[in-house]
Amino acid sequence: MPLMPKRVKHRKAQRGSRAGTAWRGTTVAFGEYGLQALERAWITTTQIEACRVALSRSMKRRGKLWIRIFPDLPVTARPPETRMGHGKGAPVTWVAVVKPGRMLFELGGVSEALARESFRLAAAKLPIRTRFVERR
Amino acid sequence: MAKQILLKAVARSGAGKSQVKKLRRQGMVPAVIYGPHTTPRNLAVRAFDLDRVLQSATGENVLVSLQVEGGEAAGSHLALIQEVQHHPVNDSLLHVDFREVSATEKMRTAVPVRPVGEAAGVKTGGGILEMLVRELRVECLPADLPDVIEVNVERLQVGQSIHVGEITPPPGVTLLDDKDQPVFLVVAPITEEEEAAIGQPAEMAEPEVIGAKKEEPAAAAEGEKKPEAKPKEAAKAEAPKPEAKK
Repeated sequence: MPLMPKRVKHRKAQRGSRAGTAWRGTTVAFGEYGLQALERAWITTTQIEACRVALSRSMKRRGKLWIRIFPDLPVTARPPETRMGHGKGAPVTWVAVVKPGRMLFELGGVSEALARESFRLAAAKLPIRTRFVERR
Repeated sequence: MAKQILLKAVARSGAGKSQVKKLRRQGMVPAVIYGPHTTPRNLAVRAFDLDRVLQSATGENVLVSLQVEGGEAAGSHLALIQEVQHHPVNDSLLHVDFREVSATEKMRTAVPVRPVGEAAGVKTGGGILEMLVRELRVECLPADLPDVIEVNVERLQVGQSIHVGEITPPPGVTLLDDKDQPVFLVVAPITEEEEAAIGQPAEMAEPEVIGAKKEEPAAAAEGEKKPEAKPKEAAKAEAPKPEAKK
């Protein structure tokens, strides 16, 4: 099931701001290792799912995975070859607004080598630079 | 037991964003010292020295002997590093809180807990050792403060756990957490069926809109949500539809 809210107040939303750095959700809080964003982006629900699949396949049912971002911003698009006007397009996907410093995923109960390799595979599915971090 | 580390600090007069930014550019970290018998005072410590102290200790639970120069807080203070703030991206030190403690008074703080050995359930049963709590709240004299509380988890089978009540604290230390609070738990690994169920791809359905009127089944089947016109607003509804396609 792709990640998206169960209930929303409005079907469509404005784009909001991606400025600044993340000031919350920036530390390893649940596991022992984390993948931290170094750039800003809208991470789509498909990209998060691709990372989750890569991580779970790499871990081979060992350890535990935490997904620290949630796509709660609906993105709309117009149908192809449509003229301008006639209102905002229909929602097509959901994205998580990620700012530099945000912890994206965390792993626990695995060795550091396996966590590094798993995060390397997951990071390849993302449109931003990331880094591997350990619990402080 | 926690060793005391010597750290030099200077009194700081300026406060506010611009002042602390200037201080950080000079290689200093703004700090504050407070305590039950101490008036809060602004300080500054060398970033290099503070980093060295944090590197040398286990975690950030460090007892320091703070030598303050100048100001009303001048002199030696026994203090606990209460909080360290880091920049979220470049990880540089932004601010540090010192909590002054008395050598003769019991204090309360949190100490990291660490598993020792490999649990039997992990080694043979393929289970996963979960740490439900990473710090335990303790009460002790500063001299008795442990760096870390180590717990042997070798006996744990899959489904078994260790609670706070089963942990023997170091001498002079009292655990304050609820005795029934589980600390370590060995859980069974995820089965292939469970993993497959999590990863089942599903169609992107629209979430429920709070406060929206229920659509008729025929309209809902179309997938596109059209505004339902009330009888008295029927004339208005003749206006161009928002989702009309050319």
